[in-house]
Amino acid sequence: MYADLIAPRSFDDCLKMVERARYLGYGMLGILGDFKIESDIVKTYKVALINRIDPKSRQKLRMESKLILAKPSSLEDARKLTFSSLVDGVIATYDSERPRIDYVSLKQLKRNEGALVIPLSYLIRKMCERAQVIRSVYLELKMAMRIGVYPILCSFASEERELVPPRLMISFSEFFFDLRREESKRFVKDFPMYMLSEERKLKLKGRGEFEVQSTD
Amino acid sequence: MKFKVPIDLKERRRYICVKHPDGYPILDRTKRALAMIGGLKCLSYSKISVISLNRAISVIRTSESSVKAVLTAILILKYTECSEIDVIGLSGNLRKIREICPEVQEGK
Repeated sequence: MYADLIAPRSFDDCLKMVERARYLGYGMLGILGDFKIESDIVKTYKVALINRIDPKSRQKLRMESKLILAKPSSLEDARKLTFSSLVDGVIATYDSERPRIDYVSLKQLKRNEGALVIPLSYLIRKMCERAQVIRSVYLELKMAMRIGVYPILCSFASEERELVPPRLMISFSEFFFDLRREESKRFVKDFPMYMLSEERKLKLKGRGEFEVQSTD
Repeated sequence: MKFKVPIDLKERRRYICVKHPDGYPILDRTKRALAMIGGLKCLSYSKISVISLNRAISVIRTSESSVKAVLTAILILKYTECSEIDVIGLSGNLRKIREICPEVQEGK
């Protein structure tokens, strides 16, 4: 089962996108914005995007949204946002040539079991205007992988037509980020599921569920 | 002395079946997108050809190592130029791709 995040503009768009997601094989869909859709086959949940943490609305935000993502505007901002356990994920710097997420922020994100989210549609549009933006995403991705923060690739589609099959997303990350196919597949399949699971536990194929105890 | 390349080491062909708007110049646009991403990655991809099954469905023929680049190029075209492009299928066998085509047209 695949999971994706979308950012619809209207309720009608949202309805069409849920239907198309079902056709493309997605089982879960995170919706950015105030759209509530009930579907039997595609499980939907609410996603919130924040720029700063407001202590007053903290509780309310957590109650309303299953997933809280942050979009930092500077390096300092990223450190502040990732310090809190409220943030489940940080959007990669897709609109600037310089990364806004550094080693410290990613370490904090790792501590809070957060993830690095790469918005595909935003990144491609920006990349066609300014090719250098791919460099900052690449750097952040490599740092995240080294630290152990899980990177997630999602479409962030705003129209029905922008939802793409998972296969194309896998090829994209495989090609641009020089990854092996299994690594690339985890970005699209396993890691999004990890971020949505309650216990934040990664269930990979072939990995034993029980830990091996030392016998010394 | 001649060095013979074993047959299984030769690159296999891959066929990508693509649905697009009527008369869309898929070869030119894909080549342009490939040149753009090739520039970003310091690579060049020229070995692609297009077999037109009808005005709305084409098959892109490429090598196995270039498949991910071609799929990325199609994805870029989908987000930047024409959002109605869809990848219907991918195979190493042209016959299978031709078999998919009538099914797609029936489902339309």
